[in-house]
Formats: sequence, C-alpha cells, structure tokens
Amino acid sequence: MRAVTDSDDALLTRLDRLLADADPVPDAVLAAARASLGWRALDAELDVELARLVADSLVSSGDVRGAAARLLSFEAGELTLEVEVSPVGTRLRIVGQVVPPRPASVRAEQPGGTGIRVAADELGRFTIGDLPAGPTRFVCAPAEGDGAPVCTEWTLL
Amino acid sequence: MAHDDAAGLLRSAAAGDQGAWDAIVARYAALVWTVARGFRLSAADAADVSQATWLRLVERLDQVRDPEALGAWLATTARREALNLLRKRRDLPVAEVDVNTDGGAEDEQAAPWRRLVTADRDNELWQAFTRLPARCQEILRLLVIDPAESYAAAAAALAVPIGSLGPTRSRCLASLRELLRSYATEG
Repeated sequence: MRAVTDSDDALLTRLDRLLADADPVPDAVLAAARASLGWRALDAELDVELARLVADSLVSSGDVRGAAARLLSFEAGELTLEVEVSPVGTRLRIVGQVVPPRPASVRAEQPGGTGIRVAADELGRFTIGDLPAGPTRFVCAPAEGDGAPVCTEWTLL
Repeated sequence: MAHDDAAGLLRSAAAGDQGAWDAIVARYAALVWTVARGFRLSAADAADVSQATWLRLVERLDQVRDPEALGAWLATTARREALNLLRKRRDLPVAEVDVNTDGGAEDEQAAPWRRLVTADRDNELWQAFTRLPARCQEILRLLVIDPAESYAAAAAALAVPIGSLGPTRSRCLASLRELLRSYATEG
C-alpha cells in the first residue's frame, strides 16, 4: 500500500487533507473572526483606557466545586471594576462594583450582541440581571466629569 | 502568504486594514480551531474559544512582541481560553483538568471533532489515524496545519518543549505506518 512507503512529509500531506475534511473551521467562526477587527475602530473612537483582568477566581481558586459565582477584578489606573458572575440556567447574572465607589454608566458588550447599559449607583453598585454567556467586556464611564471611560479586557464568561 | 509578511500584516491590521486582518484570519483560523478542538470542546465551545482568541489579538494588535511567532501567540491564547472554559464547564479543581492524558482509540466519545469521514476518502488512513493514542492524534493534528511555524504553535498549544516535537512526530508517524502496514497484510 502506498502509505507504507510514504515519507513522513508525504504522509502528513495526506493526513492534512483528511483532517481538513474531518473538522473544517465553521463559516460562522471565520466570519466572526473577521468581524472582530470592527471593535478596534470603535475603541479608537471612544478613546477608552483598557482595564486589565488582575484577578479571576476561576484561575486562582484551588477548588471551584460548588462555587456558583465567578469573581473578576479589572484594573485601569485607580479605577477597579469588581464583577461577580453567576450562572442562571445557561445565562448569566452580573453584580458589579466600581471602586472607588462612584456613580457611573456601565455597558456590557458582546460580539453579535447589542450591548446592555445599566447605571451604577452612588456607591458604584450595578446589576445586569440577564446576559448570554460568551465573550464579554464592560465599558465603564464615571458619571461625574473626571475620569476617562474605561473598558475591560474581553473575558469569556 | 509569505512567512515574513506577518509583521506587515499586523501593522496594517492595527491601522484598520480589514484586508490585512482577513489574511491573518485566513492563515491562522485552522490553527486556533484545532487547538480549541484538541481540548475536546464541542463546536459551540470551540467557537467561543476561537472568538475569545481573535478578540484578544484585536485588543493586543499593537503589542505582539514577535510577529513571526504569531502562531505560537495565538495557540497559547487559545489554550488559556480553552483551559478556563474547561474549568468552568466541569466545575472541577484546576489540578483535575488534565488534558494530557492518553485517551486512546476508545475515547471516541470525548473527541467531538472527529466526524465520520466518508469511506471513499482515504478510509484506511483514517482508520489507522483514529487508532493512534489520543496524544499522537493531537500532535499530528497540530503539525499538519500549514503555517511554517507550526512547531512553535504546536509546542505552545500542548505546553511542551519545542524540541520534544520532532522525536514525538517521528514516533507517531512510525506508529501510523505500522498500523497501515497491519492493514496491508490483512489484505
């Protein structure tokens, strides 16, 4: 049989063709990947500061068994966004806190979604009652004049 | 796309050039998808991991330190996202998520990326391939992907030293040949 005497490279070429057929990248995944660049143009307009993920209970906790909520902390300079993510069926509930506490407008953005905007109260607390799971980021604009808007890293919730 | 175009494409994409970005996606989408699926994720989960990976690149477009190692960067990112998703899905302590075990051929259930390949498309090679240990299958799946830096990307995806891949690849291909040989003698 031909393959028995194929060189390693020739065998890999045959395998390549086989595997490309077995599990091709779905068109929707390709389209979504291409569309991702659109977020960059948006960000250039908004002139937001990136808030990095500095803590994630999913990663740091040795035992997440039984723990329903995931705790995330995003930091940009002096502003911290604490986000608690709880599963509700297949969807999510978000309870958050702007630190230092101040009123703000918080918007949850997702690819393919329209975004959900909520208000953080005078203590910086906010809730998003229902959100689909998936890649998500939060844009936080303090209500008072000072403080540039801040946008968290994309996080797969 | 020439191997040394990566830096130029990244620069153009960073400046908003959709065509350059599309070229990057075209080149590396299979790698990102394959890394995700290597963690035995469903198509929906692999799609989320892929999306998260591409969004991360958009976020860091100005900060990719080594454009020539973009494949490895994407593979590392996809691996991280996949591991996080697994932790979340299985609700298990981090240490229990061991993606490096050899499932073996009987692990059909655990490898959703394997679809039934039609019989007239190199069925013998497919049969032999699926009888390899899961580890060999995973490594070969990553190494057949086109970009020239696939070794670096595979090493990043599997979190193994890049130097281990050459010998492992030879060993896995030898096993594959042995399986094919056994089919040949069976007639």
